[in-house]
Amino acid sequence: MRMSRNDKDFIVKALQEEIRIDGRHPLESRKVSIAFGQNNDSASIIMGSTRVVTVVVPSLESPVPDRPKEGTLRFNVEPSPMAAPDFEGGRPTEQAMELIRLLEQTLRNSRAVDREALCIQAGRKVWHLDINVTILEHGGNLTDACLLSAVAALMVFRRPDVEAAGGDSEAGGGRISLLSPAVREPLPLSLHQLPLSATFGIFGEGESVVLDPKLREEAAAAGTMTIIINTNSDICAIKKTCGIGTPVLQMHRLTQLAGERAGELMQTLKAALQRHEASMVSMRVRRHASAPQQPLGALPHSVTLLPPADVTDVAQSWQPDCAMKTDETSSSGAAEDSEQEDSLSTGEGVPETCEAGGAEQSSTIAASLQDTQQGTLATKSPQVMHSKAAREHHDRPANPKRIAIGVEKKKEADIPDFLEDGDDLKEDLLHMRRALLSKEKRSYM
Amino acid sequence: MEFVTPEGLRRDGRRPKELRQLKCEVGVFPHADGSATFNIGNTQVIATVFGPRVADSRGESSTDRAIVKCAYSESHFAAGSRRQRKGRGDRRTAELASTVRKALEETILVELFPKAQIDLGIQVLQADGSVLAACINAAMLAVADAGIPMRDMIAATTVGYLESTPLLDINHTERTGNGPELLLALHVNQDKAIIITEEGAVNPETLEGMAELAEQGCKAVGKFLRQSLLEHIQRHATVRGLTVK
Repeated sequence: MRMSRNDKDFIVKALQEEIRIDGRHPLESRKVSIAFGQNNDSASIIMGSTRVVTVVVPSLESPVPDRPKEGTLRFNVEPSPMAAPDFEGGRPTEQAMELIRLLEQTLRNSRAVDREALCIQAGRKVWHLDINVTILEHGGNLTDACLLSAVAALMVFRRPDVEAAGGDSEAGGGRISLLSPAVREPLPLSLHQLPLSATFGIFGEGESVVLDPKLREEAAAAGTMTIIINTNSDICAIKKTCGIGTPVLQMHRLTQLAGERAGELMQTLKAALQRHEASMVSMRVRRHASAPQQPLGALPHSVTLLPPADVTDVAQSWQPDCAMKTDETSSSGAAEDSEQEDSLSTGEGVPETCEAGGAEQSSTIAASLQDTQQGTLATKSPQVMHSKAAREHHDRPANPKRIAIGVEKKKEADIPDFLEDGDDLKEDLLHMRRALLSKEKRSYM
Repeated sequence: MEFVTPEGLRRDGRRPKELRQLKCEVGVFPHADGSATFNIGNTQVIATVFGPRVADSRGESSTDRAIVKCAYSESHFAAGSRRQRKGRGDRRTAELASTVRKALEETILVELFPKAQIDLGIQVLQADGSVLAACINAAMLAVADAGIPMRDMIAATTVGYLESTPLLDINHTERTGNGPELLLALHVNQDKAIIITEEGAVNPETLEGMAELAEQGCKAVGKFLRQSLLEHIQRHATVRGLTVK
């Protein structure tokens, strides 16, 4: 972004009096809101006027030859031309390239995502995840926004479970079947650590520092520094590649502050994830038409919990006598029935529907129900789900709280005792804490 | 693999705080405005500078400062593995090039050359760890050789951390240990860090130790670079029949 000299001087001068253009304290960040997609594959972040969406797309692919037991991850950052006037479509810009490298470094090279868990058959088929980060609006501090949205999307992402038959290929062995979400609850990724970043703008001769700079501040800044901290409060990465030099001591001070910021982001992220899960659970609940409407998130005792059902599955369980039928098949042949040809699913991602065997009559119902069932908004349905099949599903591991992600509660970063009164760092930490407390009252653009 | 023996020696026989052998030569290409080679151990880099000259495209040039462009490429035979590297164009290369460019942009007094362009060419002949640091050092020497005024001397080193020991100037073998790696490029006289990149999980106390070692390393490299530049100037002066103190 180009900026006039007057504007720049104004921002720098105001900062000398610890005033920022949007009224924040220098070490106060903008409000972050996180939303998750209904399909458990995407997350969008709004940070002031910065908006970033990340979508995770899974597919089955052959592994790279030198790592036959590991799934693959590919990151892509696309600055949409509508995000900022200086973004243009076409070849990835240098900035996008750096963001991609940062994501690769912190999420792939640091082994944050357990890639061995993404292996289905060593040397033959592994999961490949495309993590597409799209920048919708550039309001400054893209690094934090992109990393946060990528982490959020990976946390919420569920991949379909698979069953790989053993034996040689002639006897039908080696077949890989994707199990529909109705048959087997989709699996979360296992994440070893969650890296979150704090970006600082450095002003003047390096003496004043602001947290989470917005676009105009970024343009006026003499340099930036990004520090990425994981849930164990270890430093994952530091990136200070542009702008004015800083004393090395400054870096240590900023890592302390970054720790606080990462903890704060982690809390926001966890809260958002919990809300999302509660809403996902309540969407799966079906009740009597006469039953009083429950508020979202609350789980009454009398409801039957269903895993996210796709169209045909719902159709099966809607027909009581056919439900009995599926009941038989579900234990013995459901996996077989929902089997999909390996070749079909390769590179295709998750299949939309499953062939439901033994329920031809139900598939016609399915067709007629397709309209009403889109999105499987079962809460609105007048029908009651008390078939045996439904209960069977209930007993299956349909517990949505089964999340393998190690979200540890970050302990409140205490202000170390050895800091004396009047110490810069102590002052900063106190300021940050105060800013956090008063945050609910204000929100920034 | 054991990276530090109980006696405190590294695989190549160095102590943890020891740099590899430094070697450099300034003014190696007569056709370039400035050029230099820089070797640290087996890592070998050539840098050339053309300019400052009128910028190629007016759209990219700036009315109040010179722009710096950097072309980075790694020879196919530079690394041990036979894997085909794309050389120019892949993401890693692009990132390295932009880091070198930014380091030099911050060092050269670009405000003195409005509407101009300075081209940096960097060729890695052998990559045996600390490649980026070697590139920055080589580029600095080449810019100095071209007589382009700079704010300060820049010097860069890397520090790794393996088996609870910070290791200065890590080589390729030590990089395979997958420990954290810190790169520091310092303005040696002002004592200010221009580039800090760190990869790999590390706790803050360890990082402090690594940063301190990196700072010492940068100063040692800076001293060597300064000495070599002075010798180079002295040689030039003698050729022209001048005397330098």
